[in-house]
Amino acid sequence: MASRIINYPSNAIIYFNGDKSNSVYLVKEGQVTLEYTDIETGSLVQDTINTGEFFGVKSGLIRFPREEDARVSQKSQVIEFSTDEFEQLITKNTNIILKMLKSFSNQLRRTGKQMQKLVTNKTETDPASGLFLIGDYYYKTKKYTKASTVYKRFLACYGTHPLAEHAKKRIIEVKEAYENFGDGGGPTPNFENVTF
Amino acid sequence: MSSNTLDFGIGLFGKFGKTFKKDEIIFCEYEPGNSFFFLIEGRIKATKISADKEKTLDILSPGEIFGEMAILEDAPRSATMIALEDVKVLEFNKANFNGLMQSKPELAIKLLRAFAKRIYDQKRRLMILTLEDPDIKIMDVFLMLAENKGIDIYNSTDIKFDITPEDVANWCGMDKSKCSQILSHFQKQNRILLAQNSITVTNINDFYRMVNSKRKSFKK
Repeated sequence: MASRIINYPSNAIIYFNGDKSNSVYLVKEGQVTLEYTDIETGSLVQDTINTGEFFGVKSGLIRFPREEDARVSQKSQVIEFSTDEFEQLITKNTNIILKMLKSFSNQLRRTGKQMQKLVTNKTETDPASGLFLIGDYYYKTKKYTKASTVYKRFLACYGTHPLAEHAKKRIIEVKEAYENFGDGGGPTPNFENVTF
Repeated sequence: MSSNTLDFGIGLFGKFGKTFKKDEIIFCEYEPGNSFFFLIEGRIKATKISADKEKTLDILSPGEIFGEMAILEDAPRSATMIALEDVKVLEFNKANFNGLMQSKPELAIKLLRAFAKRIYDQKRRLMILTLEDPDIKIMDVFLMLAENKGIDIYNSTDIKFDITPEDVANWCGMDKSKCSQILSHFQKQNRILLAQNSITVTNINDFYRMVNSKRKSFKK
C-alpha cells in the first residue's frame, strides 16, 4: 500500500476501536478526535489531533488492534501511511522518533503508577524514601550486599535527606550481618521502621 | 557521534564499558538517572518491589537498551536492574543517547516498537487489576495469557498454561493464599486442572463470557 491522501467529511469514522491495523495517519489539515474509555474509571476520554500531528502510531507500528475510535471532528485531509512507509519516513526524521519515544515513555510511567496504586493501595512514594525502603527490603530479606549497595547509593544521591543518618547506621549493621552470617544467613533482622 | 563508533568494539568498551558481577545492582528504582545502558554480555533482570515482594518485570539479553526512560523524561529510575550473571555494559549519557538515536534510527524504531508493545501489555494488566471480583480477576489472567498466545478464545478447550498459582497471584495483584483458594475452588467446579507446573483451563470461552459481562456492567 502506498501512502494516500484521504478527504473526510466532518463526523466520518476513520477507524473503530478493535480494528486491525497496518497503517499510521497524519492530519494534513483539519481535526480528528480519538475517543476511548479510561480503563480505571470507565469514563469516556477524548483526545484532539490537530494539523501536523500523527495518530494511530502505537497500534500501527506493531500491527495491534486499534485502541480507540478515530472520528473526524472537522472536515479533514488525512495522509495514511502503511507501517513500512511510516518507518521509512521516521528513519529520515529522527527528531520525530525522539519525540514519540518521550511520549511513549511517559505513558508507560503513567500506567506503571496506576498499576502500582491498584496493587499496593499506596499513593506515590517520594524518590528518596522509595530508595531507602528498597534498602530496607533487601536488609529484611537478608540480602546484605544488595542492601549495602542501595543505602550507599541513597547517601550518594540524597546525602542531606533526613533519612541519611539512618542510612549510615544501616550500612554498618548490614556490614556486620554480612561478615557474621553472609548473604541469606543470620536471624531475621529486627530493625526500627523509619519513614519520612 | 559517527555510526561506526557504535560497533561496540573494544575501543568503545574502554571508554564507556562497565562490568557487573552476578547479583550486583546496576541501578536502583527511585535513583536519579542520568545515563542509559547497552547490554553487551550476560543477562539482567528488571525488578520492582511492591507490597513487600520483589517481582521480576523483565529479563534482558545482550543487544538490548535499558535505563532510557529516566533520561528521556529526566525522572527517577522506574525499576531496579540486577545482573543475573557476570555482565558487560556500555554506559552513555543523555547527549550520547540523542546521538545514538540519530545515527542508528533502526535502533530507535526498535525501541519505539518495544515501548508500544510494553504499553499494550501494561494496559492489559491494568484491565485485570481494575476488575473488582477476585474470581473474575483470575479468569481474566487466563484470558490475557490466551490472547498473548494467539489462542482462539471461542473455539478452544483444555488450554494448558505453563504457570503456577503464584504467577497468577502476581498478575492480578492478589494475596498468594487467597489466589490458591480460588484456584482450588475452580478445580472443584471442573473449570481448571491444577498440575505441578501448569494450569489447564477446560472452557476458556466460559471465562471470556463471565469477564465480559462484568466489564459491560462496569461501563454502565
